Amino acid sequence: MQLTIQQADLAFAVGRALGSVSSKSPLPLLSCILLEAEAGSLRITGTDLDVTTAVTVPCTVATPGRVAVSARHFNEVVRKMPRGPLVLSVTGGQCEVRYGDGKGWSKFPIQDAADFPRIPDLKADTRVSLGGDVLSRMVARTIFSASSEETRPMLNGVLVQGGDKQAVFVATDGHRLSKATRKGAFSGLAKDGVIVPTRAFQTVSRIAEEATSPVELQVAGARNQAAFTAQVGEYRVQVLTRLLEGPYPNYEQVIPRGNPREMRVRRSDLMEAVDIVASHADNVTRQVRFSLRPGRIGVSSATELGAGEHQLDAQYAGEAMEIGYNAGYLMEILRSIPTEEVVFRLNTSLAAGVIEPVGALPEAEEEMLCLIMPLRLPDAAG
Amino acid sequence: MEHPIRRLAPETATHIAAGEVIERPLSALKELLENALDAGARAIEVRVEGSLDRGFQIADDGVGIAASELELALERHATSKLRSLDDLDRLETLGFRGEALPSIAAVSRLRLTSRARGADAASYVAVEGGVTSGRGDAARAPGTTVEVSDLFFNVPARRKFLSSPAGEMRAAYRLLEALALAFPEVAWRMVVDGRDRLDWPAATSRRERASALWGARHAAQLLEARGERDGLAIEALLGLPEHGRASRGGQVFLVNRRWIQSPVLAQALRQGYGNLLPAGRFPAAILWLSVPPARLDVNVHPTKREVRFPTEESVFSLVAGVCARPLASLQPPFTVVRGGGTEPSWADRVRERPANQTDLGLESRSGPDATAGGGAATPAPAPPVAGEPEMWQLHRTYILAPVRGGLVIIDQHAAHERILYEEAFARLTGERASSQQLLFPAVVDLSRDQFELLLELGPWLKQLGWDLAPLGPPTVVIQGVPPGLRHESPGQLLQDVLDGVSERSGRTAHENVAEHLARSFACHAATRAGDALTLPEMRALADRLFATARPHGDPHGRVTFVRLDLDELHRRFGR
Ligand SMILES: Nc1ncnc2c1ncn2[C@@H]1O[C@H](COP(=O)(O)OP(=O)(O)O)[C@@H](O)[C@H]1O
Ligand SMILES: [Mg+2]
Repeated sequence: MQLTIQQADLAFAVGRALGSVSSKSPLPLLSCILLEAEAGSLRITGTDLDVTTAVTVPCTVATPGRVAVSARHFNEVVRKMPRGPLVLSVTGGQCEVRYGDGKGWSKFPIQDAADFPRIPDLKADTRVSLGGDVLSRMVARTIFSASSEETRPMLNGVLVQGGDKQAVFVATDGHRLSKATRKGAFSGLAKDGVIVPTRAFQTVSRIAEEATSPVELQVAGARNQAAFTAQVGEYRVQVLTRLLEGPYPNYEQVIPRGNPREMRVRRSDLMEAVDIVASHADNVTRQVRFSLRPGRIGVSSATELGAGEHQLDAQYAGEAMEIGYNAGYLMEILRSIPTEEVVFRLNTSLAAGVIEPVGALPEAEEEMLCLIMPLRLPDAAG
Repeated sequence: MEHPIRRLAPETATHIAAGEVIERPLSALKELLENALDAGARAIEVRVEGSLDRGFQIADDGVGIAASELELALERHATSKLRSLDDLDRLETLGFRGEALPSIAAVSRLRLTSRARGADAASYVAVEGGVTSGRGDAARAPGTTVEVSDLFFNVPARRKFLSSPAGEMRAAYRLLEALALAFPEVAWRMVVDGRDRLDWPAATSRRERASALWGARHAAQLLEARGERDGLAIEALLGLPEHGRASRGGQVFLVNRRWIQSPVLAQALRQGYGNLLPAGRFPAAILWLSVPPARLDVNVHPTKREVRFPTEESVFSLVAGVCARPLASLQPPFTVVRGGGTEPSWADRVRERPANQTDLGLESRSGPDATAGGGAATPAPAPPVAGEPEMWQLHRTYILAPVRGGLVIIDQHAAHERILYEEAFARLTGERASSQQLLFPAVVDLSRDQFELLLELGPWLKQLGWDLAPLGPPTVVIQGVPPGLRHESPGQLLQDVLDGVSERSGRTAHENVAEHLARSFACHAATRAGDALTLPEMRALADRLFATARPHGDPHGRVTFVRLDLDELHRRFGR
């Protein structure tokens, strides 16, 4: 194998592929990346068997071939090499990279590429495409609510549903839920959708941000696999992932429609209040107390660490009410909403509350909604 | 001679034997239920007043006892089931010693009423502490009723060692469950203080009975297994690996319709589950085994809860093999627990031999690696916040925390257990915890004894932050959980906690419920060895541990941390 490639191109490909290499894999080959050279391009693949990233970059190939090298080490060295053309070749059981027009070289031990896990070709039965910015926003608005609990694996990801009217992203861990929608025809994707693992979406959303083309999502339903493919300038990046097996819980059923009490508040004011007060909260339960009164709310907490209370103006006309929340959940939700004001739609102090932006989102075709389950306060009835 | 040998008076002998056969109220219930089953009953009704030791009665529709034999039945070694020793090899009945009735009669007030099939009237005998106190005519349909009250009224020493009445009732539910599984064709009913607690109509199959016991939804998830070899036959209903429990409480072993305990069967069953279950979890399963009577020794223990198999190896391999089959075809999400073991890296093959670094004689200034430059693919670990200590996790089991003058090594599980124990105990005796409400309430099918325990512990569980709504027994809906739990499915945790309490409070009465519950909760809710912890989690754990009243040991008395002094290290390195 021998080829000539620009340092920037190689560094990009190696860096992205490394994103899917597990840092503590028991199999040495999984801490490697696979380099495959063929007619005018080099493809670099990293995988941890669940998520695979493959990046194809242009180059001049003299002799095609395949080789596996240690991901982290190769990345570290290539990254530091000077810009300009590099000559990469495999000789005598080593992978050699020459740089700076003969100024220097590095050699890397190689692994037998034949042992590298075979990444199956995706036999897609459906495909849909989404703008890179849209995808990364929808992921950012939902992914934080996904669960990391191993006992309910279907919640360790984001549900992605299509249809001819809208695309819907949903994540929940059973304590909170977030839902983002975008209007438009996404009929390539089924209405009941697929569950994309959190880890895959972390990788995908980074690529979606820098993508210069729409991101194409292909699903092979029968094999429970999906691929996200996008162009980043001249580079083609593909993230392959196993999908999580459902069934996903029926989330529509738990979104309350007619919550009677409405509280509107400036988002930044509320975040400030929760942030300060939560410093006194129990560092495990993160419990803060909301005291709703007409025209204002109080946020407070008291533990052996200390106590604090913060009053802020709010539009609230309902009766006085005390309700407990996990400050961590609340902050993540508030952070995900882009509007200046947010509205809480509440029922009882034990029932699910809806938190939504007030007014339209910056992108007119998009909507979002979050649910949060309260903490039952010790002094609450029941 | 000071202590000449004397033959015991018959009453004394009976009394001593009674102590072995009837060690607790539950044994009386068990023996009498077995008698009803031996009599061919198709319907059995148990009524309990207050608690088992206060009084209960069992009515059956079996063959009954002839009026002329009533008193004989109450005599020691009087049985209709065995004529000679050889009969033991053909034994089809649960009883064979003729000891139960006299033993119970010796330590209680007992009334035996029976009408033999074909007889046109019933009669009764009443006995108090082994002495006949009355007899006469009675009225009832064919069958037998045995009423037992004031158990151990004449053995005060025994009374002191009885379990709590509630613990005994839970054991009774377990017993009825097991016998109901052994005899699905029999209709069972249990009434406690006038309230119907169990009502299982005669079933036509084992699965149908299981579904009456635990609900159709749960029963539908049980896997079936059956097999036969060398005259041994086994049938099993196996719980899914994800329904594995923290104790063996979910296992019922029935050998020739006898409910027995058996380490061999337990191990064989566990083997069948292989690596589908992590260490420390036990499958829930029912095994029905049939063995030719001639090859099974049932006369091993006074309570008949143990048997001896012809050859343990063949039983073991049959059971393990048969159980493994349906489990092998399970699809994910039951992820296999992989063995660890990292291979040595390939580097050894190609690496240049490390040479000694020649030294310029200058003090080396080690700085952080320059990690600047585009394309850094993995985020560098967040630098420790200034002033806050760095900590490390070792083998996902220990936390290494530098302290002034040395290093503290914390066992993450033990430490968390200590923390949770103190918190739980404070909650149980003080202000109620808050409760994280659930968006999707979890519906959990408990076993009958778990359910009874749950009802008993209701107020305490609420103090801990559980928000529970019992549906029809044995199902409960979890609406809220103690906040800040990691990694646990609420239903699993609840079951583990209940099992932990019943294991601890099973045998001894009048112990502190709060204490048991706090211990069990701490033990099961705590972070385990193997859980990866983030830096903030490690810090929180260390802070909370040293804020407890007894940071040095977990509730079982194991140490939570060891300290390594810098002086000690210096000494070892010869500084
Ligand atoms: N419920 C019953 N129905 C009919 N016969 C019974 C019943 N209970 C006891 N007997 C008779 O009384 C005898 C003695 O009972 P028991 O003391 O339990 O000894 P065993 O069960 O070992 O024979 C039994 O053999 C049986 O003949
Ligand atoms: Mg008997």
